[in-house]
Amino acid sequence: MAKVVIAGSTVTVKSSVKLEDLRKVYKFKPDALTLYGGEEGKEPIFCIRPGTESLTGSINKYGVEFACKPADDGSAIVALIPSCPESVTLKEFVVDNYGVILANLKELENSVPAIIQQIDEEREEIAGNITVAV
Amino acid sequence: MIKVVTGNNLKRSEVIVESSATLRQVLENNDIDYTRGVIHLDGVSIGAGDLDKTFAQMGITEKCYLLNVVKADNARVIV
Repeated sequence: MAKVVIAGSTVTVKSSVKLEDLRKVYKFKPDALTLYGGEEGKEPIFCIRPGTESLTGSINKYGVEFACKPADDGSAIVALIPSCPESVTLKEFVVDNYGVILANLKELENSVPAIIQQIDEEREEIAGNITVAV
Repeated sequence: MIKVVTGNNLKRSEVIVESSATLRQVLENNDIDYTRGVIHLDGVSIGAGDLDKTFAQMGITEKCYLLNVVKADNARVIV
């Protein structure tokens, strides 16, 4: 599950998935980064994406767009400064307002390793069928 | 991420896209013919050049409607 670090008024969500892995999955199997729901299970309800431009990324109830640069250990991260009322602590605010988002993020993160393995196996199989004529 | 309800007079679908996606990309990815009719973003018709702007540039932060509206004259019967 993603780790959340609160420093002052800044909240940083550090994913358990590497940004490079996210980019790989997005390139070969982008649908795997989307949670579907609704009556027939075909309505997209939550997505995660590797960032391309933003240094902070963005997060809301429809998904997470990670920052274009990873943390030092390569993990995908997203940073935000929420408008937290003074009556509650920022930690309580994050749990109340971002709990569902983090739960959806966790569900997608858990599926990434298996997808990466599948992609690698498929690429290996394809590469094995390529012959370079000399 | 932005939830976009996109479509035309006949069909509508919901997609989730990055804020850096352009209006044209969403319309093309969802097979919406934007050469006919008027494109409306949240009920407002968009202007020339707006199709290649991102949702972020158009001020959309969370959710929007991106629809192609075709208005046809009523059929006229000539006797």
